[in-house]
Amino acid sequence: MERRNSFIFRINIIFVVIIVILIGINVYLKSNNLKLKNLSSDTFNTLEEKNKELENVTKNNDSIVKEINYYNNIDIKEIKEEYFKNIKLLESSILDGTNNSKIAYLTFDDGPYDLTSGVLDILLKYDVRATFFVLGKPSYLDTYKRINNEGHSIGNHTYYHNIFTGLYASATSFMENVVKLEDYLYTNIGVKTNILRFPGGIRSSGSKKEEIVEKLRSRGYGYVDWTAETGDGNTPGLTSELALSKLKRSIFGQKVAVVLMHDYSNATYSALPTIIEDLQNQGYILLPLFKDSVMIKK
Amino acid sequence: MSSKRFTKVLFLVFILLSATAIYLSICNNKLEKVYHQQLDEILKIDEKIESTNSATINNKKELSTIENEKLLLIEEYRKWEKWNEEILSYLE
Repeated sequence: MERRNSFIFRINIIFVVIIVILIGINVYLKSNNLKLKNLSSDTFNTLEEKNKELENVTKNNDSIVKEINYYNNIDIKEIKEEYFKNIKLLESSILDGTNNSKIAYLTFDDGPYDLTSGVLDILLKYDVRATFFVLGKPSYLDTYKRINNEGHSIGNHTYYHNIFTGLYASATSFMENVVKLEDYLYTNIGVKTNILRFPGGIRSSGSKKEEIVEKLRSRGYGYVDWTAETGDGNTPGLTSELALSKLKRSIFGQKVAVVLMHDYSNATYSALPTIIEDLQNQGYILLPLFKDSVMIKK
Repeated sequence: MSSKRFTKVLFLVFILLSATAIYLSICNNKLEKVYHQQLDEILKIDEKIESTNSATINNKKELSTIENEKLLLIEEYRKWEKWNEEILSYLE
């Protein structure tokens, strides 16, 4: 009996020792557990911060990439096409009565002249684009470039404008004159013209009209006369007041008008700011001509 | 308490403490795994941030080159874009 009790006592001692060791192990494990939990919670916070940082730098980079793509995809031709397509839509909505706006296409014939720069300054000041039906004048190369760079349309008005010296003698002579200017403009300022105004208007072409129009059409041209004017091409002693009143009379009632002016005329030049203001006050939007315009005959 | 019963109690305590130790070591293993995963993830994110930052620097350089090269083109494009928006405003 005593031997048995002694055995149990020894077992108990061993158990107590093991239990003490186990308590030590558990305390150690628990403290480790707490440390790991703390570390994990810290790293979780760091992870969240890092994720936010990554999100920010990615956003920043994305916006730069977006900008690069925007610049790389810049296509002037495309935006110009869209611009003129929208003017075409505007014209249609005005003509079918669903839009109350009005359009006036300001056009300047026979230039460039010295005065053209002044005309361009005024158009720039009023943020207005117009159309210049130009001739071939190599000494005005910079003016052609400026007309083009400032968003104005350039139309073909033949190289020499020699109405009285053979321009309309034949369709061939007319087209030679057209192509000479076309080549000059394309070579020197990179503009391919596709709208044309007959020097003196279509009536001046007389019996050659059909033949010339056919040749123009096959070369991709549309042509336009005018529906309003300041009279600066045929009124001796024209004043700026008279130019304005002639324009007001001739444009009256038109929803879409093509205004004929000349950039050699001092009267037109002086009246131009008032003309622009007056037309805008009448509700006209002043725009450059383009081939698909309803005003261009094809 | 008889010593036999005391032994039983000690045995039970032994079992309980052993189970606790096993449970705690399993928990610690898991926590350690999670902690290391988090550290790995932080390293990966750091790498990503670093590579994105260097890409941003390169892209900024590219952007400024493009801006310089295409300055005139960009200006012209913006002009047409503005004029186009004006027309669109009349169409609304």
